[in-house]
Order: sequence, then C-alpha cells, then structure tokens
Amino acid sequence: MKALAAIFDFVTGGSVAAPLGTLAAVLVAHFGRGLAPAALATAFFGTLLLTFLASTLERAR
Amino acid sequence: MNGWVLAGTTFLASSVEFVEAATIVLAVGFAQGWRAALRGTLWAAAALAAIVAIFGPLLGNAASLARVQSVVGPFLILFGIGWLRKAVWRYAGRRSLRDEAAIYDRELARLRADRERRLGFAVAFQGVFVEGLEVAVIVVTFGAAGARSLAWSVGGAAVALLVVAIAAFALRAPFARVPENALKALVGVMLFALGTFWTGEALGIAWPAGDATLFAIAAAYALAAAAIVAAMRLVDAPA
Repeated sequence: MKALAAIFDFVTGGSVAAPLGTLAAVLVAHFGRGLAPAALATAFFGTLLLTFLASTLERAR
Repeated sequence: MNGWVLAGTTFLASSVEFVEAATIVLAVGFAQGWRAALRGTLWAAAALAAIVAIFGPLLGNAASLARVQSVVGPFLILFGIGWLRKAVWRYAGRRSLRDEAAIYDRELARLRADRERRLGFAVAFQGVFVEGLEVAVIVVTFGAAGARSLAWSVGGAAVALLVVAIAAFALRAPFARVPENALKALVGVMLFALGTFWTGEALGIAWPAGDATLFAIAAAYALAAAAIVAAMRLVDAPA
C-alpha cells in the first residue's frame, strides 16, 4: 500500500483531481467524436483547464 | 515536433532538479569529503542513465506514435499540473519558496553531526537519484515523440547537467539566486501543454492551427496560472 501511495504521489503530486480530470478529458475526446473538430478540441482543452483549476484549489492552504 | 522545444523543456526541467541535487552534493562534499559526494553522484547518475538507456529506446520502438502518445501524454499532463500548481501556490504565498541556502545549511549541520562516513555517499546518491528520477521520466517520455526525439531530450538534460556542474564547481556554494519558481512554472506550463497536445493528437483531435496550437495552449495555461495567483493573493490580502 505504501509503495502504491508513493507511486501515486510521484505521478500525480498527491492530487486526486489531476488523474480524475485527465480521465474525464480522455472520455470527452472519446465520446465527443461526433462534434465538430473545433468544438471537440475546445471541450478537451476546457476539461483539462478545469482539471488544473480543481487540482490547484484542491489542497491550497 | 520541434526538437528545440523538447530540448529546451528538458534543459529547464533538468536545471531545476540538478540545482536542488547540487545543494545536497555540495553539503556532503564540505561535511564528509568530496570522495563520498562524487561517488554518490556518479552512481546515481549511472542509475538514471541506465533508466533512460533501457526505457527510452523501448518506448521509441513501440508500435505507433499515436499509441505512444496516448500513454506518455497523460503522464506529461499529470507532471505538468504537479509542477505548475506548486509554482502557483508559491507565487500566491500559500507555500514557502524553496531556499537553497537554508537547505544547504541544514544538510551540512546534519552531516557534520553524523560520524558515520557512509552516510555521505547515501545522501549524495539519494539526493541526485530522487531529484533526477522525474527528469529521467520526462526525458524518456519526450524521447518517444518521434525519430531523434530521444537525442534532443537527452541533449537538453546533458547540457543542463554540464552547466550546473560547472557552476557548482566554480561557486562551491548553493545556488541561492536561481529563480527556481519561475523555472518550475515555465516547465510546468510546457509539460502540461505538450501532454495536452499529444494526448489530443493520439485521441484523434484535429488541433485548429496544427503544431502552432501548442504555443496557444501553453499561453492559455500560463494565463490561467497567473489568474489563479492573482485571485489567491486577492483572497488572502488583509482587509
């Protein structure tokens, strides 16, 4: 468990929002294939931007 | 992908990490002798070089570029968010700035108090290995971006190592004046933007301006980070 936690921390910097948001962006890209190219690119980028925001506010003291 | 972008990003990321490692190595050198410091540094550098030598070509030879990008892209996004959010916290005053001089003094006192000589080797090894591991992962993932990418990313890291080593030898003191947080923010933006761009490409997203979109993405992330810093400062400002 400790090793897994250490790997998680190493990859994500301890953030839960970052991996969840990245996964959400991948799902947006996958299921949004029917959208216009510009709309899909915007949705994908927007999801990651929100992920960054959530991750930054997640444990900001 | 432009090789200079890869080399520049690995150069900056490596510089920051090597500056932090140099602080520890210098403390070991002055407290317990240069032999232990250099032995620890060389063994750690060899271990990191082995990681890059094994995993770099392995990823580079993978079946297709899209498949590689779909694996390494999310890692770059996660690393980028990690670097950038810490930089944001530091700029906003919610996390203390890293003080190389204070860290150096603390390590020096700890090592001088310890009479076990082998500790010096272990501390130097651990310092260089831990600080360098993230760089090794970044170099390997960048190396998978296409033909000759590994050479560009290894080149960037090698130049950073050379510059920091020469500066450490010349100064023989911790690098207290390096703008570490600015460099970390810049690296965070580049890793995040490259990760976004590659993951999107791998998932079939047609970026509106082709490769040039990368810089627009980077600019947007930098602006977002600056806006969050400003908002945090505003919230924290005394009434």
